[in-house]
Amino acid sequence: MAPYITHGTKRNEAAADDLIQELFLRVWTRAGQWQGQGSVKGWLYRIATNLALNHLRTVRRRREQALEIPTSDDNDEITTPAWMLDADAVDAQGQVEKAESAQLLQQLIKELPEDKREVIRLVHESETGVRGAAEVLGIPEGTVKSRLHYTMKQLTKAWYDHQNNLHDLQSLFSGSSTHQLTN
Amino acid sequence: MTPTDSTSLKQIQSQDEKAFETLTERYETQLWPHTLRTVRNETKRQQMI
Repeated sequence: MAPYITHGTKRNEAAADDLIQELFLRVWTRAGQWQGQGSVKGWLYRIATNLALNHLRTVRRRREQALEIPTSDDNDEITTPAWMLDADAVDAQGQVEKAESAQLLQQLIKELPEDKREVIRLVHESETGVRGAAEVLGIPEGTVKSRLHYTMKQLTKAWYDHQNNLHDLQSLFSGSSTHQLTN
Repeated sequence: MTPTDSTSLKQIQSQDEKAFETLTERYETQLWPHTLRTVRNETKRQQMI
């Protein structure tokens, strides 16, 4: 088989691995969105299809942005080229929240046990996919998948616990300020 | 008795890990080829445009 075909196949397989992880993470976190209409199977297939198409759209957009030639500005003003602008960057608050979320996620990953942390880093950050991670760690693919599932669940729970604590803290502060104001 | 998909999903809404595991095991092997096929076909389609 030609090397480029092998490479493309592996890339697609790695993408499918990631998308399936993402799908089940969504099922865990958004099970409440299923309205009870139609079959669960159909719902799962729809999520899988949408995730795959969104993934490809993102890949295509990144590729197009990378290929776009920046236009030079005639005057000497220092401006950010359009091709470097992220639509989200316009929303500063959104950017701050994004950065905070990324930081929190990194913190939660750091707190994981070594074996789980390794799996997350290999599959999601190094993008080796489940197969690649199994090869690197010398464990069966099934073990990688189950570790990934449990780790995702653990991370999701830790995430929500953190958000709830934050919410409780905010309520506490708003409660105390009300208390101060009324006294 | 094996729980139905909708029962599993209702249990997952209450954070039931066992139900999540059941649903995952039931569908992972079916959804993976479907997802791979979607990625592969759509990639080919985009390359042809």
